[in-house]
Amino acid sequence: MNEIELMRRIVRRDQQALREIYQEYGRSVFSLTYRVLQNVVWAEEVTQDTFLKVWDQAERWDSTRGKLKNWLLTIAHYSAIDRLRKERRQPSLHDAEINEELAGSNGTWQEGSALHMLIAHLPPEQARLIELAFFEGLSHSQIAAQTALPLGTVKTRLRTGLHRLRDLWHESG
Amino acid sequence: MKEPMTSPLTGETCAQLLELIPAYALRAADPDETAFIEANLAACPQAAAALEDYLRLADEMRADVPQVAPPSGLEERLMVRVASTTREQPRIVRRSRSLWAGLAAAAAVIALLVGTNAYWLMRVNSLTQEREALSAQLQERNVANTMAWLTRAQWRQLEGTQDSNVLAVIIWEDDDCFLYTLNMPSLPEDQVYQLWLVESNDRHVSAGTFRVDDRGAGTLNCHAQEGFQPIERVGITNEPRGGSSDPTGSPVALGDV
Repeated sequence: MNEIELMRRIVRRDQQALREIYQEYGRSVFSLTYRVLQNVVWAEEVTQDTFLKVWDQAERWDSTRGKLKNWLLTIAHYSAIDRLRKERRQPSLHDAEINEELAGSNGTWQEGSALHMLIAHLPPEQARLIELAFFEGLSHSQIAAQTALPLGTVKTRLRTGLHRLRDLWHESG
Repeated sequence: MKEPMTSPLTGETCAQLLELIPAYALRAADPDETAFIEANLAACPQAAAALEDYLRLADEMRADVPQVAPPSGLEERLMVRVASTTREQPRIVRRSRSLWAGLAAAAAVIALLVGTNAYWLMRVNSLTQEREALSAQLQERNVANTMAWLTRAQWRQLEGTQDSNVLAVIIWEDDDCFLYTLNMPSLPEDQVYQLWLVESNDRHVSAGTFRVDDRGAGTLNCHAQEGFQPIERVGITNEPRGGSSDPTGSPVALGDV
C-alpha cells in the first residue's frame, strides 16, 4: 500500500482511498479505542471520528515525520482519552453485555505481545501508573488523587517505570 | 563553570527537563510541567532526543494493544458518515475537483440529457428535486471554479444492461472521476455496486464501491491511477460488500469512453 498516494487521493476526496486505509488500519484503531474505552459503542464512534479526521485533515499528515499508522493511532488515542474524560467515568473490564458479545463472537483477543511482556517485568505499582497515565489519560496530579499516593511518589514511580520500560524495549529490539 | 556547549540551559534545568520527559511523552505531565518543558525543550538537546525516544515508545504501546475485530458493518457505517459529511460540509480542494464540482457537473450533464433526449424529458419530474438541491448547493459554492471544471471535464452516459430506466453518468478530468446514478436497483445489505474501469487490454480496475438510496441514486468520487487515457469502457456490477478484485457479477450498466 502506497500510503502517500492514498493520502493524496483522500485530499482529492476519493472515498475509495479512505476505505482502503480503513481496511488496512481499522482493526488497529478500533483495538486501541476499545482498549482505552472498554465500551464497544464508544470505541466504534471514536474509530469513526478518527477516520473522519483523516478524511478532513489528510493534508496534515507529514510522511517525513512518521508512519501513517502511528499518526492514525495517535489521533485515535487522544480522541479516545478525550471521550473517556467526557464520559466522566473510568473504563471497566466488566462493561455492557455487548462487550461480551464482541469478545465471544469473534474470539480474536490475542495474547499479549512484546511490550506487554516487557511491562509484566516491571513492579506492579509502576505498571499500574503507566496504565493510568497512558490508557486513562491521567496526569501526575490526577493519578496522585486517584491512588492517594503522594505526588512525589507518583512522579518517581512513573518516571522509573517508563525509564525501565524503555531500556527493556531497547534491549529486546 | 561554563555549561557544556550542547546545552545553553543550566545543567540543573536540563536535568529537570529530562526527569519530566517520560511523563510528558505520555501526556501525563501536569499543565505547569508541560509549560516548563515546552519553554525550555529547544535549549536542551538531550531532553529533545529523549523525547523522540519516548514518543517512539508511545507509538509502540499504541500499536501493542490486544487486537480485536471491529463490529461488523463499521466500515459501511463509516463510509455512510463520510458521504454524509461530504454532502453537508463540502470543501473546495486545490484543483477545484471536489465532490461539489462533480455534483455540479452531474447536474449539468443531466440537464443536458434532459434537454436533448425526449426519453429523459419524461423523467424531469423525478429529477427536479435533485436539480433543485444541486442548484441550491451550487449557489453556495464557487460557481466560477465549478464552471471552469465543467468546461474541462468529459462525460459519458452508461446504458443500463438489465433495466433501461437506469441512469448512470460518469464525468472525468485527468485521473479524477465522478459517477452519478439514478434508478439503480436496490441491493441487499451484503452487496454493493462497484465501478470498473476497463482498459484496452481488458484489464478491469476497480474505481470504488457505492450504495444507492431508495431511489437508486448514488454517487462515487473515483480515481484512475493512470488517468483515463488507457480506459476503453466503464461498467458497474453488483459485488459482495467490500468489493471484489475482479468483477463477479453481470454488468448493470456499461458505457464506452
